[in-house]
Amino acid sequence: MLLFISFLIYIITTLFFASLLFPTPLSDNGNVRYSSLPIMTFVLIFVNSMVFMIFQGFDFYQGVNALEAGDLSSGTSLINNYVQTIWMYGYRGALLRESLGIGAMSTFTSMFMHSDMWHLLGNMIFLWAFGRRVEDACGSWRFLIFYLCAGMIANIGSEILNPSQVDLPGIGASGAISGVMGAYLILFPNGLVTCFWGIGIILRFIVVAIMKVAGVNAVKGAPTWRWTIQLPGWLLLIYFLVRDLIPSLETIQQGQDFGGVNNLAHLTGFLAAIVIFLFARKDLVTRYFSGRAI
Amino acid sequence: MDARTLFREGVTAIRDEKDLNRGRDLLVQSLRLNPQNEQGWLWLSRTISDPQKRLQALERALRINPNNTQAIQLVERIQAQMGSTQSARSTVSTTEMLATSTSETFQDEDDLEDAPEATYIENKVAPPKPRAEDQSRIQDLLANAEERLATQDAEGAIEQWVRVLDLQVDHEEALGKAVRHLSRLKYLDDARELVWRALDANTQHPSIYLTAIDIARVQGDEGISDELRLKLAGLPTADEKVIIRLVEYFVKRDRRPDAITVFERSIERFPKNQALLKQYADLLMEQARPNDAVAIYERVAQLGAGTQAGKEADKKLLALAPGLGDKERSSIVLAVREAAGFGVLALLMAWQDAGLNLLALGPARWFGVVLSVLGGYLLITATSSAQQQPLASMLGGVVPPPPPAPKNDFEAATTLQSPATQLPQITLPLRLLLGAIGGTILVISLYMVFSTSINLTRNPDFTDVHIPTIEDLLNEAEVSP
Repeated sequence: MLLFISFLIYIITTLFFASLLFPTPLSDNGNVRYSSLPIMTFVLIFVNSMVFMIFQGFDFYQGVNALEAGDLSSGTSLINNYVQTIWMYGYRGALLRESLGIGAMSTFTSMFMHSDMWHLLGNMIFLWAFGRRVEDACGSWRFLIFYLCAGMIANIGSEILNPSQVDLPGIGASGAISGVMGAYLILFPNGLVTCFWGIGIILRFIVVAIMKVAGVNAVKGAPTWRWTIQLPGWLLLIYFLVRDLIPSLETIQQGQDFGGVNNLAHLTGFLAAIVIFLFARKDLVTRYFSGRAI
Repeated sequence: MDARTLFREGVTAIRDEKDLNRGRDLLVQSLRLNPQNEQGWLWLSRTISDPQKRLQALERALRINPNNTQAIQLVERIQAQMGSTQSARSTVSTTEMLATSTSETFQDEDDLEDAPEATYIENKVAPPKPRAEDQSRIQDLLANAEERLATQDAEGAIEQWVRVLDLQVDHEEALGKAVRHLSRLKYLDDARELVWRALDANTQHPSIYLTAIDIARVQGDEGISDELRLKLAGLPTADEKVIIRLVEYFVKRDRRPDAITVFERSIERFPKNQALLKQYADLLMEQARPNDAVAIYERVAQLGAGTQAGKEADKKLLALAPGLGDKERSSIVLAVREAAGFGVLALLMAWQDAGLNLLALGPARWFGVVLSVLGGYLLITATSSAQQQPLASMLGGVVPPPPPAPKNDFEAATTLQSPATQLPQITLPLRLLLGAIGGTILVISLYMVFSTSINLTRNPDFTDVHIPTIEDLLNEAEVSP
């Protein structure tokens, strides 16, 4: 129990510090209209977590532990397993073009793989924050197909727009999740997203405290301190889009790829959101295009 | 008879037959049907002898067309005539003058009140504030009144308060105390006169309206007291408590349309009051106006789904989730759109299966993409688009049974009913067949577009694949700049 509590405190503290400068979306505040249970979002989170834990996490963390304990041979062996899994089932243009390995099937396998727990946790937080409502707008099965399409577009985009010949595997759900975020921006531009954002929380505290001392009515009854802050969805998403855009353009222009975050996949995934109208519910589409609230 | 005929006959009665009474009756009937008839109001003004009543009719004409020169000239003429008699109220504007107290209404006015907007005159001008020299005089008079009251001289005190009211017709304190003591002395008519003077001057004090309402109620004039309640709702100074009180009054008497009117006149002044908005939406639901209610519930939920009102509104919205209309149900375009989604999925898979080279897709994969659209279409027709027209009719579809009737009146009024559809729906056995065929075609198509990768998955070929070890990666990291 103590271990679990320590783990939770560790996660919250790390998240807080990671979110000091830049906001981390936790959940959107919009209403779900059709189903209060986002089954497919849960399933995707579950599958992503399971794939990581069963096929990657065990090797990685056991290997790190072994290396830290000085057991070089088993540590290296476990880490090699972890590396090999990524290189065999990650998205590699070289394998696709030559029909080697598992070929294009890696477009699906790579979508469910993550490099470490923080990579997984970060992606799943974003999937939860934006997926819940997009799933509601589509229905579970159509949402799944949209998610896969967005992930594939992100994978394809990251390969064909990147002139670099460096053979590096791409893994992670972020391309597909970028598509979900783009769809959220298209469908719910006025949505409010609850975020964890250190600077924002502190600034809010200062402003509210001053206003309360000054007796401003607008903040009457509002809590002075809150652990979260609400930001407009469009602002948040445009920020993420711009954040991916600049390095993506650099990659396209310079043809360099040193690994790390695949911004190009994020960007193309984001742009894949345009196909959301093929998957959204019929009545939602007609309401959207007739200018009514959805 | 329609509004136009009534108007024509009214004009004939006035102009040719010189029968003003009949002409007025006909015009009033015509204006009830069509209150936007500018000429109707002009002609009506000719049948009325009372100058204030004439001004009212002309004001209506001017509201429809502010440039009506005939009406403007007539208003000026009447105002000039009234000038001498109205000198005591010289600061009061025309609009204010038009907003006469309900106690002064005439027979014709009662008729006109039935017409939309007949009684609710907005943008009134509040009574002017007393001048600086009057302010100190008022303070003196109030002090005098208190002194007299202390010596049990209530009538003397009332006299002082009335003098205050001569300086400021809607002085809240003076009016309140004067009315209270007049009522105690059983001079209710005098109290009423003081209050009505303030109302005539368009006071903005809700308390004076509430006093007037009480007086009207005590005197058994329920009609006037209700009319004052509705006017009070539109008063910019009426706060939330007043609005809630007014709504509760009407709801208690089972007069929900009036309660809704209270909200309609006041709600925009409280755009962020979730509880008030929620109460408004609930009333709309009870009045079987679910679509209007949904818009208000949305506003409540948008203001924050964490509060009690927000949660309840969110719950209502869930229950009121919009359903499909016949437009969506019958649309082939929307069904094909969904099928195109399968096509996109298949195309993306084929593209990657062909080594990220669209030109190398080959006929089989392209055919697979087309098949995926067909399979997807059949699957969608079987599931979510079984009422496409004319396809469903051609396939011998039948009109589905209507949704179950609401169990009671409350449910009928509180649930957004999906409109019963008359569109034929493909029968269940045929849908099952179409679904099975569509699913099969889809599976075949996905195999066709992804055949290379599926074969590789069955027998992964990693022989020529570069898979580095951790040592390689560490070495590469050391070499790279």
